[in-house]
Amino acid sequence: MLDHLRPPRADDPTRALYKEWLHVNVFDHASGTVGLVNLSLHGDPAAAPSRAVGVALVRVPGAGWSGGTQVQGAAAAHAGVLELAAGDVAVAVAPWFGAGHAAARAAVADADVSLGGPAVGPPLGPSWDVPFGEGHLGWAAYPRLALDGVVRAAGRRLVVRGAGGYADHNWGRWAWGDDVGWDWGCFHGADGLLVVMSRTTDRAHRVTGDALVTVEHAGRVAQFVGPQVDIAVDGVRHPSRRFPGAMAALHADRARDRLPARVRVRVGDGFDGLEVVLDVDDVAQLLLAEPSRPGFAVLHESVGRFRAVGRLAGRPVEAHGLGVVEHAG
Amino acid sequence: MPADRGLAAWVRAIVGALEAADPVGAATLRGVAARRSARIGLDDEWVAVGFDDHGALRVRRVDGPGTGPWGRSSRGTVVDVLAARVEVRDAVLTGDVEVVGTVAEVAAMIAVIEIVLDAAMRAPALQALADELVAAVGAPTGPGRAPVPWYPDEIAPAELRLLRALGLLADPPAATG
Repeated sequence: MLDHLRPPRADDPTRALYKEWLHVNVFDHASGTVGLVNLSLHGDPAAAPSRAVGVALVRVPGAGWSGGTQVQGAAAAHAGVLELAAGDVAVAVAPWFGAGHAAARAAVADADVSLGGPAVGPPLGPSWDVPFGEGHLGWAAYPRLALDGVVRAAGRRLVVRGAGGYADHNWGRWAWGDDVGWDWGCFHGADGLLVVMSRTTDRAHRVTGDALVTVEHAGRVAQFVGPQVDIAVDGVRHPSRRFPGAMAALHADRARDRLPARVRVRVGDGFDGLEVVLDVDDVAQLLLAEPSRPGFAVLHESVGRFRAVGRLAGRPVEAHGLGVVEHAG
Repeated sequence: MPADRGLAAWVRAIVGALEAADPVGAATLRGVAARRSARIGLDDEWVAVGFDDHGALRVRRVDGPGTGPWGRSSRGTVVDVLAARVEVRDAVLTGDVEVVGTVAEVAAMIAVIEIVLDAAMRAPALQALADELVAAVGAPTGPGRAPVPWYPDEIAPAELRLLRALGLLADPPAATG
């Protein structure tokens, strides 16, 4: 079945806990710039406190983060099959390999992003809907993208041609503040290697679910689960920017959260094997409020450069590129 | 650019929106404020704020901070905080936010702000007031303010090195010498 947005039905008793978003990452290897555009919906779409949160964050090497969040009432959001728009942020995805494409447009604070491009990789496969807090969490990851467009950030104008791209879709029912979280990461190699990892966790990240790692290389996809995956972290980084400002002011105690300075993902199934090591350059913190009741969650976006070494389909692989790891809870 | 309400009207609007959106939060705010009164400054405006014996908000214009507890900031700083361009901690360290009083008085004033901020996450009326202030002042542009180191000079370098080695420094090493 083709993917689509999943707004709650009028008679859905869990609609107050509705969450859904579309997400696009860009990895420009020429400049080292990593960006993300996300448009998310939080809460019963018909309830006044429910929110549409647009995010545009761009990290330019040597210039730090640009952009921020744009928080509006959920009524400001417009939705299509796999398109979301609110205010100055819009994300659209048509994920099907061959004819697939994605586009992201956002102008938030000092970041202005306009990107689009076709799917250039095979279907990645990950799509699941798992128990999550008092509800469930769905996730679909789309094929690797080649993005063209313009990114304005840190007072610079960057013309992007064929940059690495990633897009996904999340949906479900839970409350920010539930004892849940996740680890997610996307590593995009300059030569086309794509590694996507994810796992659910408790809020403190002490209890983790089975990890799923998808590796795409030379048109071939391999997946690793559970004991085939080892994720380790080392060192300490702190967020350099926090958004939105009102939530950052309310949760001043989270200003110095400790995030890893290095993330290592090792996978192996006896045939394929790969080790990815990301050295984190910078961390941005996003604070999300639960609109239906008191509660919040903190998402950290850690970006940096990675190197990967291993053996895929019987051939040695050595790659480097840009990556982002998301730590949520 | 829309007209600014003025400080007294901002205070009345914020408390009114809180009472409408979150009666429990409003009651908590009254409990924290108890019978205290404080003066609030915003740019060149000053008001005295408190609740009377019946729990009704009292706001009156005054000339300055006076001798009791007080807090002050500026519209520009408030908008910068809302735009995530400056951390509250840094605004305090640079003197862009001042809160003066006994420990209990300062704690009460900060708690009142936190109650309003917490309620604002689920109160469109309070969010609309924030949008109104930003529209009146003008959305800030350019990069955010740099973090402010806060370790006092009298902390010896050896002590800082030890704390850093143990991973106990809250500030980045570059900010601590």
